[in-house]
Amino acid sequence: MTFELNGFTVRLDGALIVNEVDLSLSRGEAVLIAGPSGAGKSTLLKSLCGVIPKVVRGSVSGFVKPSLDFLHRSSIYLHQEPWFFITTPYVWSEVLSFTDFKRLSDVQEVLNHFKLSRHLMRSTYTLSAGEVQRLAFIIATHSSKDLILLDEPTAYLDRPNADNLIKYVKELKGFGKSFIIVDHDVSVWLDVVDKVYYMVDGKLVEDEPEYYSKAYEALNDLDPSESRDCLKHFIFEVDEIKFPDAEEPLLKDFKLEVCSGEVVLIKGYSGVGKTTLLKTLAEKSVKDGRIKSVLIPDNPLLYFSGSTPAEELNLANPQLSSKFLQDFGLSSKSNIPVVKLSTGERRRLALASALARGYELVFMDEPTIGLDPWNKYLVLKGIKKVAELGTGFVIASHDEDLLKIANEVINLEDWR
Amino acid sequence: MRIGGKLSSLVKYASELIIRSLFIYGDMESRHVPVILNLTLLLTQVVLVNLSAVGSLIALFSTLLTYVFRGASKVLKYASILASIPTIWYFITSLPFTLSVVKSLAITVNVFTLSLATLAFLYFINPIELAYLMNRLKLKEVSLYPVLTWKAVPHILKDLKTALTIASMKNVELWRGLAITVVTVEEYSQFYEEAQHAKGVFQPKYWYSWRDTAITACLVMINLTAIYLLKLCF
Ligand SMILES: Nc1ncnc2c1ncn2[C@@H]1O[C@H](COP(=O)(O)OP(=O)(O)OP(=O)(O)O)[C@@H](O)[C@H]1O
Repeated sequence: MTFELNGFTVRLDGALIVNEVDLSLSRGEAVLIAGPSGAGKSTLLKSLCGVIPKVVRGSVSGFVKPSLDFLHRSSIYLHQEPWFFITTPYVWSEVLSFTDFKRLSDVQEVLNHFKLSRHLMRSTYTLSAGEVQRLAFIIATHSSKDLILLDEPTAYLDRPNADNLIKYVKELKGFGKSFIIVDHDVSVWLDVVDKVYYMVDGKLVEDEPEYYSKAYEALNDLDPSESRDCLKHFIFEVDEIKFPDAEEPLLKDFKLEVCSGEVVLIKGYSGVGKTTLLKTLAEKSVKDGRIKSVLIPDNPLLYFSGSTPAEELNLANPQLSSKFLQDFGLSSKSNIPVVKLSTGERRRLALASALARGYELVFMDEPTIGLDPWNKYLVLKGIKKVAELGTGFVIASHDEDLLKIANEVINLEDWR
Repeated sequence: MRIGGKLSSLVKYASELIIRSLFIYGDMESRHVPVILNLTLLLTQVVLVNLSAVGSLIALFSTLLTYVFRGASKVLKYASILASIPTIWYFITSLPFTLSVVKSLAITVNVFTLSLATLAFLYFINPIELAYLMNRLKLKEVSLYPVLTWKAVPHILKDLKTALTIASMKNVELWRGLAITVVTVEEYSQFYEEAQHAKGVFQPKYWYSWRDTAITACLVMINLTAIYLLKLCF
């Protein structure tokens, strides 16, 4: 699989998104593309595999060798949101239907490599986010396609699982597979990729843009808020969490204490039960009815009650809505539909809304997934700001950067 | 708001019932029985219900046996509660017409049996088999639909539950929770289209379980015998 792009340009709705990109890749090579949100990374991948213009309307131009059609036929694109890449209801059927594997025992073996073997017969919709991401990666790398386009393939993975996946990419390069990988975290890929590019305003550049060092500096400057007197105590006890189809309980005799204004981080490997625990705690809190609390799920869209940022905040606090929009850097977006907001903006809007509604406790699932370093900084700063005003946070995440603002850390692995 | 809260809990409970009685359990041998046999079983149950009151009871018994002998006793509880929803509705609405509790009860048993039998059919059906058959019949284009539906429906129901939990936590109207679920589903359909387009070729593989096929065939035989005897007697 060798190809070359010259002056490759993509326009969506007339707007220039990918601007005269030059890129070449040989058999068994891998390149990494990093860059801020909205720079055009995913658009580039989508136009290489034909999603643009075949599914999403847009125009693609430039020189492609051997041909654009050839690229469309030889590539597979692993979508940023791995759920949508999964087609069938069972794990075994997903692997057998979309790869070259012929027997269940082969499927079992590859699942085993990604610590998924006990899920062979499971319903795919019950898998955790990281499990889905690993399953999607297996499909993408075991099809007959030679060019594999991976859009943030480690976003939902803890460090050991991400390292395992990255090592696998290295092995597959040896078998002649070529990769274009989009990821925010450059350092973890350095050992595997042949070249690193940054995408800035639709252009590919080789030098790390200033933006990155600024964002990392800001992230590194974050620290947990100083501990204050605990004005209010929230105590949760969970006797057992057990799925109807599971033999063993996921968790037993769990106890959690949160103080007002405190950020508690629940961490642990992918599949340990972070999301399930968070949702259980949120449900308990609703049933209890005494604590004013809310859940911000990993898909923040589900949080909203208003169709625009302005409406969302007006519903919460009409007098202060424009102040909140301003405080969370959303003034210019106040009247656009919430669906049109980026993930980072959605999370910040949810935080602004939680603050405007005066919750005592916020349950937040994976607040930094899919965010570039600067947006991650903005979200973490937002959480810290809301916490400093007295709201307690219970956050489920595998992202180590959350340790920067956490007052307390619970490792769920210790409870299994 | 209190009525809204109750309604919200009800919708969440109904979603959970659908999830538990159809989707939550992964794949198993009993889902590897030819769809035509499953359909025949359902048809014999429908015929029995239409024959007579005795037929109805036999059909109900046959449906219960289907759950028990095919390893789905755990699901029976949830499926029965789900089947009770149309049943209770029928019972109440039929009363003014029949003016007799006994007659209404008879209708009720029929509705319950048919609902439970349909749920059993849906539970044991395997969308991979449908896709596999469609592929063999050269209907490649549409073969993705049954599998995607089975994959997406529980996903959406799960999100609906989350959205409703949030709506009640935020103390906003129920419809706002429903509206954001619709918006989310619209976004999902765009993502599904994008993600599925650039995936490899779909070549479903499937196998049949002889043991479970034999059990189902026995249930069909029992029903056919009952139909024959009932026709002979009445
Ligand atoms: N219905 C179910 N039956 C059996 N197991 C289930 C069911 N639903 C979820 N699980 C399993 O429970 C475990 C915990 O899931 P959960 O989503 O809470 O994990 P997590 O820690 O949030 O993982 P991630 O970081 O990957 O999102 C996973 O292994 C998942 O596969």
